[in-house]
Amino acid sequence: MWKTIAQVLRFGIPEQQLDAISPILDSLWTDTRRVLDRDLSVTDPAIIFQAGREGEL
Amino acid sequence: MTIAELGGQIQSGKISPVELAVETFAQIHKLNPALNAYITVMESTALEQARQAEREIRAGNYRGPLHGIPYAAKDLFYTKGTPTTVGSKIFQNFVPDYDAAVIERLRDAGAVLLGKAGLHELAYGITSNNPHFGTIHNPWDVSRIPGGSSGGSTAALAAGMCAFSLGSDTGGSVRIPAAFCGVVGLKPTFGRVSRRGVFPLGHTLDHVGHFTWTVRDAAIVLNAVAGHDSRDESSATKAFLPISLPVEAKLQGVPIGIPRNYYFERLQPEVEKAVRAAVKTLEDLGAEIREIEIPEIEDFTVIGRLILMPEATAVHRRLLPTRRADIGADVLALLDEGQFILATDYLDAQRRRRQLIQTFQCIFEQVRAVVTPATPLTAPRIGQSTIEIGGRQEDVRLGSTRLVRALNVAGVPALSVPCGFDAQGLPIGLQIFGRAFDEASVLLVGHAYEQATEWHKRRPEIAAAPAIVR
Repeated sequence: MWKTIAQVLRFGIPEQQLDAISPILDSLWTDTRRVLDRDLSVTDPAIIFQAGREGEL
Repeated sequence: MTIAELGGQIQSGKISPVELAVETFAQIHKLNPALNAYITVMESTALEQARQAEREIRAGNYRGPLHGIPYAAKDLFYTKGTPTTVGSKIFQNFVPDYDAAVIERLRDAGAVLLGKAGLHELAYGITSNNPHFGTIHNPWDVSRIPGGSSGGSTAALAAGMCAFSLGSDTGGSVRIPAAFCGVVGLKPTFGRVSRRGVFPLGHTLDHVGHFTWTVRDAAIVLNAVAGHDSRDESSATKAFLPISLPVEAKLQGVPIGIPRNYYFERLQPEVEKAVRAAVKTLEDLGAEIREIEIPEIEDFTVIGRLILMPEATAVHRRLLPTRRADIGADVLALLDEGQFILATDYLDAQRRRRQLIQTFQCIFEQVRAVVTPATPLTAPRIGQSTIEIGGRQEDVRLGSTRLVRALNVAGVPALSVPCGFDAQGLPIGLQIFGRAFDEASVLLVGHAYEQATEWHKRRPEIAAAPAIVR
């Protein structure tokens, strides 16, 4: 999957380096789905760029 | 000597800032070839700053506890007219035309900038094995890493090549090297210290931090660098009140949390033993130790990676098509990986982050501070990529960041203080964290612990020469 994405989007990553990072991306993808696949539609993203506001929440 | 001790002697005229700078440079010339802690040594400008400090103090214009104190800055803090390499071949000739806000504030406090400390390339890693500027060595055992990414800053301090140093922490880059090098490392609350003129890695995770020998010194430096900066969009507007630590710290009745989940899983046995002993010390000091559960803490670490990877790739994306050959293999892999994170996943990670921060704030309704190990392991050997902990092989980078990364996501203040040594003589770090903007409680707990123990007084053998700053 990652090779196809890299080729279509022209990331310019050599094949050997793609082979090396693919298992890491597989593992991260699994973790991502576990952590993010839930209803987040009513939650705003963190506004940590404005640290003063965030700290005073 | 500590900053507090040096400051007293400088103020009273027993030590001259020039003499201190000269002696510290002698230590740098002696040890930097072996440790490679500095990328750039700024001898002539530092001596001029020291002479100016001396003139001012003699004229009765003592500025405060950092006046005449020599320090090092991680080489991602902009320094006007002096190269700021970010540990990268690509930026090796980058010369900023202004100083970072923290450098400005330290200059106003009269501190003397000795040079720019080495780091993991682009501050994106924890080993400080830099392919362009050389490997940085741990002063406690030169065959081992100092940790990173602020490894040059901690190696320089531990070896007596400065009295304090500056670092940055995006996923543990202050607390990991502090733990591995046996010094105090403070990551203040997100927004507490200005990031103007600090080369970015992850815009919503980067924190400016610093290293000292004692917690009292950490408070002294924080008092000089903290506070709102209108030139930094992420700078907090919340007022910073200078922190004054008591001569004899007491923890009577102070509720301190010890997580029963996550933080004590898969540790090197000597790390667990040292941290459990530190908890007992806090209890003996009168603290009320409470076992707590930190909900969904495992998710914080995943969220942290999902946010950092695309943010770091966004910072450096323009380099990828043309400068791949000029980027080290480990950093290049991380930058490549960041291209694959979906925008929707990045945004959802920031949404989950908000939920998790709110959950996290509930912890501090029960306790004033939380104590954990800083890292599950002591400093690995240079070149070591995996390590066995608790019968399981673990990637050195992921293992080292496992207990620290969540606090960048939460943005809360966190401190690492030395709490023991393993059988190889390698330091072990205790992590103390607290509510956002409550650096005072974190420092108080660290200070009380430090007063009751002697770990912070040990120095590596390599730095045994009689330099004043030791």
